[in-house]
Amino acid sequence: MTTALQALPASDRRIIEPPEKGQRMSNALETTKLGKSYGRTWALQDCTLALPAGRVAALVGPNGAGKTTFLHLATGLLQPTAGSVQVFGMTPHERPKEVLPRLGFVAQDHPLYRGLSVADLLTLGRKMNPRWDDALARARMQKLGIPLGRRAGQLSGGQQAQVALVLALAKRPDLLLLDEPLASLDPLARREFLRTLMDAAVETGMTVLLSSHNIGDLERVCDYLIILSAAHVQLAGDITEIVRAHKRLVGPRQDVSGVASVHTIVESSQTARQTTLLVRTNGPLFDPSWAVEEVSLEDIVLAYLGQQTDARRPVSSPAEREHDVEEMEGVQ
Amino acid sequence: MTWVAWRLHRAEGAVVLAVLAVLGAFLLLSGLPMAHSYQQSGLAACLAHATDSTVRGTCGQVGGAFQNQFGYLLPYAAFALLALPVLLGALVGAPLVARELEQRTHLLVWMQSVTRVRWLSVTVGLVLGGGLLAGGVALALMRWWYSPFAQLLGTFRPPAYDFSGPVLPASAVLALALGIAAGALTRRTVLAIFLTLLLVLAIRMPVELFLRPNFAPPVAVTWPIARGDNPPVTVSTHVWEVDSGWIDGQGHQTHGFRCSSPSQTSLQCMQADGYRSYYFTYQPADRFWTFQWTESGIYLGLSALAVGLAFWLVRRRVT
Amino acid sequence: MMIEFHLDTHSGVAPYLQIVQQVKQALRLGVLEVGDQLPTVREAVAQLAVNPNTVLKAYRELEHEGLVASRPGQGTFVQRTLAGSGLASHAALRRGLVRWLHSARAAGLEEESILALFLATFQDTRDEKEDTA
Repeated sequence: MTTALQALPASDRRIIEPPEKGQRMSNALETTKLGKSYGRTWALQDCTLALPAGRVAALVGPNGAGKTTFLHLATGLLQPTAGSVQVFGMTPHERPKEVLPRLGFVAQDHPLYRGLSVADLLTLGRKMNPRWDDALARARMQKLGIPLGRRAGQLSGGQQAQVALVLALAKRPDLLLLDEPLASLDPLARREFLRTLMDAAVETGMTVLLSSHNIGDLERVCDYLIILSAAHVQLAGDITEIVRAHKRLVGPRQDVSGVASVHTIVESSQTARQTTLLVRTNGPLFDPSWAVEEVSLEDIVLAYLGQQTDARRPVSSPAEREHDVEEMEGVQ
Repeated sequence: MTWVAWRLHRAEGAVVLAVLAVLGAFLLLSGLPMAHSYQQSGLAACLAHATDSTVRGTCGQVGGAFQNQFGYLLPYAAFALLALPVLLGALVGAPLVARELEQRTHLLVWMQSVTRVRWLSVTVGLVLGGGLLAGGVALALMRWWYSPFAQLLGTFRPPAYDFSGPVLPASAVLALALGIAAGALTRRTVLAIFLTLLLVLAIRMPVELFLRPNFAPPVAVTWPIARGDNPPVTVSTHVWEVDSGWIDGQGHQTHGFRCSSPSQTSLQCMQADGYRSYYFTYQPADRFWTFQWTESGIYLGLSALAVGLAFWLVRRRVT
Repeated sequence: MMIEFHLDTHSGVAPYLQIVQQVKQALRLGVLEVGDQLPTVREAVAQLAVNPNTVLKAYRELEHEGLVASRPGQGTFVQRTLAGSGLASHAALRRGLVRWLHSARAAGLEEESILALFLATFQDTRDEKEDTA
């Protein structure tokens, strides 16, 4: 049987801070027990995290996990039902005049006014933003080869995504939020989009938060990870620390309480002869009965989301696995 | 922000301008011959010198001829001038917020550095201002076009009432405001358009049919049957007739009578059945402007409520 | 730019290590010589569409090994080549390693256990190094 960790108790859902960061960095985004409900359904519940400034963070979770709701709460488009969200110490819905100029947002499917030309969109940005950098916007459009006279509706999907991104970047935001920016793009367009994004991140040192249902897309650009699943934050922390702290333990079938008493078991599975655990280590591993392996970031994310990509394990239901175990024991 | 509001809605502005141009062309093409005939036939001179008592007398025939010649235009004008504000509201007002939400461009425009309230204020201000202006232009055109009839029949009676005073631009503003609120409420353009049509009808019809006749208590006159069915000459032709009919033997007002014996004349019938007099209730001509401003006030007040609702919805609710 | 970087996301090797390896490879092949400037962080990021910290970490590692030096405001420059650091110059290390291997075999460890122990310790000490850096 596989026991995946659907919801860690709050005390275990610690934010993994890199140990060398002694000094307090200001947080670009902070949520405290943030929740949003629509009638009786909670899209988000009890979300607490702090995203330090200057990070490029990935917000990962399955469709319907609450990623868009989270981002809309952070931008002030939605009001929380419970808890609070703060951007640079301010509540976005209550103080839009102060927060909006520092915030950039690229919504899902990068909506644009299709009837407006690219030049018109730039003028729109210029008229509506005090911190607008028109020269930067034009330079980027030129570098990307996007004609200013063309209507937005006539551009390709990749170009539209780039236009939406440049519009957000030209605001010179301190925090840039992107809702599934790569979802509708082909691989080349994805690479180009990330190229533009990272170039801007180097240049300005801004904080970036991108959401996706696939961590593979974001691994190369992100250094911070937030896992959202079933309306809750399952994990949040620095990626290097997360990868370092998670290990796969493989050993003969045995009682796992010894391991569980020291470390946090994220996922465990058993066959007749073997136990496999994915743990978050809270100290050194001394037990020689376990072979210790590194775990890829993708596998870590999937473990928290309740699945496993390990090819050794055929995907089967708990009932099937029980049957397998019985069969093997019978053969013995 | 003003540039943005204009740029995003300049297509609608162009259409409204085109519609006004077409209307203007129609009015010019039909109005010039009308004005010409009005002068040439001597009707103008006659009415200029006439007191009310002579209107039906000496000018009556020329006036009748004029009405016969040009009266057919009135239903078209009436229809156009009633339909235009409604269409304005439905096709310009309803998509204002609804299309923004439906196409998700609100996620772009509300995430610039301008607050939602300011965005809506500027947009609504531009659109309502434009509607007021368009209504004003239409009003001026109609008053010029209708002036021969205005001399003859006054502007109080329908359909002239609806296009001879501030009620016209006010109804345009009302339709727009209701459209904007409907769009903010339904968040779907097509639904908003239908809702706007419904709301405009639901407000204008009761006002026109039930409130308007009673803004001030109507004046009533009665006169004996023998004097014929025309109201006494003290009642000007420019009044607005609210109700008329017979007073039967029991003193009740009725709108019709049946002649029991076909061989008698109508007068003999009426007398035989006990009908004693005609009655006529009306609003005097000098109350025209009071009525116009009262009705406009109602429309503008409702517009303010609708716009307020739109603001509340936009501030609080988002997809 | 003297060299171009590339990233293989499926290789299992951490991105920053790939950059380190590519610089070292360039040094071994003579593509990079002493005094050459490495791509700026911005250039590398634009090339790879990768997190800037990845490049910074790689350059820090190379600097730690003494191969490059960063001059504030100017860039990162090659200080030392890899050619000529033959295994002979590490004879003492080699001898210590041979002694350890003998001890490990004497303790009854099999080859794969020895390798596992070495890799685990290597990993742990590297992490320690990072903590104290």
